Amino acid sequence: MIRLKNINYSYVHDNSQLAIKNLSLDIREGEFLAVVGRNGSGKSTFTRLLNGLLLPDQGKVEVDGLDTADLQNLSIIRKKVGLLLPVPDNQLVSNVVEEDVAFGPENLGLPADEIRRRVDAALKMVSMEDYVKHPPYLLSGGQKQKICIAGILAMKPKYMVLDEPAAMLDPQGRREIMETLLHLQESEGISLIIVTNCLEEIVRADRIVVLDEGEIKAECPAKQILPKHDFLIEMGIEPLETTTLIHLLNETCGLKISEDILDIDELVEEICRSV
Amino acid sequence: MYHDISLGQYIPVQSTLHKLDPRSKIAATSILVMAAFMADFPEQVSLLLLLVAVLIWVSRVSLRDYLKALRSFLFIIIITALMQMFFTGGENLLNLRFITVSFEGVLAAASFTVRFVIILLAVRILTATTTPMAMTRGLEKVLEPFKRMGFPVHELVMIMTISLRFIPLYIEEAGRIRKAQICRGADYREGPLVKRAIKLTSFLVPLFRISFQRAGDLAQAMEARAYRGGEGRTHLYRLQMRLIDYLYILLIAAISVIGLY
Repeated sequence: MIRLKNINYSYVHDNSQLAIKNLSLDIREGEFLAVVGRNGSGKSTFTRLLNGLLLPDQGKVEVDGLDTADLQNLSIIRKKVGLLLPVPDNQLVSNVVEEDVAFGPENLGLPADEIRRRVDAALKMVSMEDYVKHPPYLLSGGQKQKICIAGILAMKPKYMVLDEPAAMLDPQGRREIMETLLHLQESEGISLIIVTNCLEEIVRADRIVVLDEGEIKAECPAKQILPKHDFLIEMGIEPLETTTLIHLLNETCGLKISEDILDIDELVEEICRSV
Repeated sequence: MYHDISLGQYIPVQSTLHKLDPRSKIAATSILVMAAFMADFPEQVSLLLLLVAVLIWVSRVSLRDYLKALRSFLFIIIITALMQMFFTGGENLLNLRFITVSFEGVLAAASFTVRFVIILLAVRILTATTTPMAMTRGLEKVLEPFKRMGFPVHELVMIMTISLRFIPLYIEEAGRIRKAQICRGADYREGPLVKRAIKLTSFLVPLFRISFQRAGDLAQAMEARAYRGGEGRTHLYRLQMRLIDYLYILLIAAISVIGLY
């Protein structure tokens, strides 16, 4: 479990502008947690607090009981908590795919044959095993992102924190990445912590946390928060297309369609029934 | 884009050279480069050029990639060759009003050009056939004695490797910025030199800004993947000098030495 207790974090020294304000949250093992919020809401800061890249000014972050502020723990914490940053080009270290994936395990000091095994397994998990010797600059954006994910998987993390994993991708690549991630959560039991402002990606999340101005404004199961059209708009988040459509139909045509519908087929049926 | 950004990059093909231990390739390249400096022109230098040609053939990397490496240095080669030609004293071949070209000058220019080409090609053979990480490991091993003297070998070699990794990205980025500025009416081709140089700031400033951003992001990504410098790090590849590696060094050394004496 990752436990955040009363975290304050500020990028300026006099703490006048807090990027994270009194934030407390428990992230459970194996769960799919989504964090949403508008730009500047503290989402990225949040991700970097989880693995000790940033240390809280006040409060405490514990990963399986290990304090991120204790330098001695950092190595284990970085192994447990994998972090994917938004732009794949900025995190690939090597000019050869397999060497890049090996970078993390090498840092962990694993023996060569174990590294080999992990690299092959990780590339297989993201179905990129045919690109072992490729240079990344000949790959598409989605493929590069998959290599980055493989690089983290090869460290066998318990938690995967992904900062806008699909931001640079087209809808096709976006779906592929999300499928890959959800599959990993199921098969490997890895916790997914996905930060995004695209709700489509996180319909299947167990829990959604809404951040605004560094504070948690809501924290509940996805099914409860996704239909809240007005609240999402207020938080600067674009609601799902289905939610918007239901909202408009109910407002302008006086229909009484249940706002809880998230699935497009279900919605079509419901509309046909009420018309 | 590929043709633009292959400068110094590893070319993934299968060849005997690709399979050699990075240390033997680094050693052989160093010998070749030194020999190119010391060899007499033209006989011994020609022999080295021939050797490099054979290595290019063995490397299975297309000749185009090598020519591209030369092309990026074309300007320096030409300028330096011209300087050699005009400013070397000796028997006059050509006497224009204020320019004199001597026989020795032409010889010096030719000698310089061929030597420089040999060195560029030798280094390109090394970078084309050795993956960056293998190169890092090889250099680290070769420079290990300095480590004991407290020299941060791993860190320096890592910096070098990452710079190589970022070359294609920056070339891409530079192209993008240039196009973006041209779209907004920037003109880098017309006007007097000084004005053009000033205009270039609108190109260089964003490029620098992006570089710093990238460097920061990469540092975070590396740290997030548990990087703490060279200490306690292991490696995917085990380096192993085989018989063929020793033979390779021996062969290059033998030919270079024959060249010298």
